[in-house]
Amino acid sequence: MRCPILLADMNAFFASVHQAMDPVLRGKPVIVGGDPAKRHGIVLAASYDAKACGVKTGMAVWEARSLCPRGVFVKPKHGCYVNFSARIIRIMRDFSPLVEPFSIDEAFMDVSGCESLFGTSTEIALQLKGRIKREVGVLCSVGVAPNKLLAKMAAGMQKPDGLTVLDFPDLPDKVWPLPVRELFGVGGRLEKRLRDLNIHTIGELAVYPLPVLKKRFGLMGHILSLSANGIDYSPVDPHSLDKVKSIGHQITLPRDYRGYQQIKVVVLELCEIVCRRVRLGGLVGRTVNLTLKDTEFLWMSRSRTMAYPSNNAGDVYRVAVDLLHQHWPAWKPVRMVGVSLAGLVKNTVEQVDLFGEVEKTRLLNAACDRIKDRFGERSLLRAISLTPEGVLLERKGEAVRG
Amino acid sequence: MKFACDKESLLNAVQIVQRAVSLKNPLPILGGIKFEAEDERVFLSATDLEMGIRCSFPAQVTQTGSSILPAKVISELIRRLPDLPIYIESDPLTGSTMVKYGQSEANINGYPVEEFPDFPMPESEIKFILPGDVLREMVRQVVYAAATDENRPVFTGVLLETGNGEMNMVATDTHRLAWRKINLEKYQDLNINLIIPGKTLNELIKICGSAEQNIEITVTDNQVLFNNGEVCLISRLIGGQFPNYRQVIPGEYISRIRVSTKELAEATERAALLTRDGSPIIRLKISDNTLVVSVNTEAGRVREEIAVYQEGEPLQFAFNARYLGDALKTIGSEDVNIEFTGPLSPGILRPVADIDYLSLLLPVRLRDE
Repeated sequence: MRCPILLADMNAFFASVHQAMDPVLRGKPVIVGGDPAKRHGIVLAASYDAKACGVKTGMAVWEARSLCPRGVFVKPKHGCYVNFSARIIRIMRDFSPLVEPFSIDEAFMDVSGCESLFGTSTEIALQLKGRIKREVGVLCSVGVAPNKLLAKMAAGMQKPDGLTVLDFPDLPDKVWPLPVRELFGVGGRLEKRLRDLNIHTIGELAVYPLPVLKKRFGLMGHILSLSANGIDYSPVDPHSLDKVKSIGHQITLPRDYRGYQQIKVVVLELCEIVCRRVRLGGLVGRTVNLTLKDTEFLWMSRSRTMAYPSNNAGDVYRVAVDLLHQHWPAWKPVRMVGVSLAGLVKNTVEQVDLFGEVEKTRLLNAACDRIKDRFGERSLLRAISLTPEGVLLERKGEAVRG
Repeated sequence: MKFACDKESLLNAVQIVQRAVSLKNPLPILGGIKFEAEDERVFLSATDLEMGIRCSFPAQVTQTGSSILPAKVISELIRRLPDLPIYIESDPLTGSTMVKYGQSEANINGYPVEEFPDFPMPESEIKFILPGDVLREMVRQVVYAAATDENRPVFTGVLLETGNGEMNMVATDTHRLAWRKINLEKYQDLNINLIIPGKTLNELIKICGSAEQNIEITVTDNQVLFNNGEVCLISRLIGGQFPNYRQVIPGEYISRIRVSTKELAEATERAALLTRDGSPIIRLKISDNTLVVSVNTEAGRVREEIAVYQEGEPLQFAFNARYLGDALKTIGSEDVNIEFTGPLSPGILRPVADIDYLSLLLPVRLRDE
């Protein structure tokens, strides 16, 4: 089979889920967005009817409302999206065991060797689309290609409800004329650096001398050149999600915080949330990342690796505060704070220490975890959450998810 | 400043003081070495404000004075000079220093002399003298256990305490501990307790060495000075209270082995090859006069058997290979005694027939995946 890789990409996924659950919404411009009162007023998804009015993902809710006054605004229901996503993955696994969930609304599938069961990959793609539509009630675009990279590009070519086969002979006509930013893995910053080399289209990148790309971008340059030529060696990995790389949490503050004293309160609360989740996964992490956004939406993200892996909020907090002091001026107001822990590994090894401190923290964390397991995430908070800057106490049901 | 000297002694002095030069300091002048010419001696000094080194060598001084030269340039230049008499002459007006060798010369622009931080020698009544080789060996056996991360400053230092005619040096990063005792009979009444930065002591090892050279140690409230007559090393002290280490050293054991230091060190190194970078954990199992060192990871398996002399119960536990390797490197005897009190209690390494040194190692707790 020449094109055994499929990518199924759900169209306007969040909006489609609401339409599937509530028939009244079908055929209406549905806009899924946050609550502007809590400064979460951003459009997360819009149905195709809403998109026709010019509503775009990431736009402010008030802006969407002025563009699309007839729009039906619904609040996001994360649990439902996860549930729908799992149902779609299950359907895909009926065709092949090699299914790699890529995001909440996309998944790769390798159907090599399935032809005698279900037919060619194009036939499988049609069956898959039909079943997702009938059984789940959402539409998807499927890309069929020799590898993951081209499947991803193919799926993006026809929306909604598309089915695109993209093979190597199609590259010069269908892929090379596209701007480089359409190439998987090329973001805004890289696009700009490529433009400096007078590379504007994927085709120009494909024929660009490899030594120059390697010198400029290192290993990334080599991968870029291969990608532009439609070459991608990565396998469909059904276990890619089993290994968590990082766990993080971020919060848009109810008002701008000023000064380390105020910001530190939220940082500590976030460290607690993140470390609790890391412990739930039976993991420890080494790299602490702190992300801050100011009122102009400029953001700063810095990380540092600790000498030893940890899942204790106190350790992570110490590093996060260090990063805060080092990289954020005290006067600058903060709008959003995020903390994450990366370099996660299974917590199978724990260095015992001379003074019994590790053991003490371990027991304390285990006790807190047991209380939270039984009485809920909010049953136990640090005293600092009671101060006016604390966000965990006020925003019930928002800050801690799953 | 104007003097003549030979290349050897100049290069030696430059390389010694260079250890205190800090190139990364925001204060650029700290990247410089101060040259001072006085009656028939030239003094070189450098500091990073935490630690300072001052060193001198004999020279033909024809004009006293001083200048401050960028350490990087001057050391690289002197290292490359031919083996000829060297004349150094500085011009206080331009701040430039001329280095003359044979028919050639180099002119190096220096820093303004008055901007170099003061370098006062600590003065105090509290002084004692140790042979260079004794101090060096003592420091070497202990300093490796000091912490490198600055979270808790006390643990980045080495405790030096004296009393009752003894001197103890202890370092710990909470995962391991090293302790060394020596007799200090000449100083029965000397009672001091200080924490010296591990960084400084690592430099001290490189400076002191020979048995003939005595090192005078001077202690003030916040500084310590090591002086061997030619080189002075001054360091600030770390404030705070060193934890009570005596309390955490177990007095008894349930199991003890005697094993060849070299064999165990080599087995440890081989086994560690297959472990994850961040946590090089190896398993040890003692039974029937055999020590089994093993590793089983995604990368593969290693199993090594070493014949040991065993006393007490069979036991198994896991260690960080790096810590075990460090401890074995400094043990300094052909065979090592290792005592255990339980799978999650410290293991104690002692050189055979030396009761004044021990290296303590905390195991790791393993959870089944």
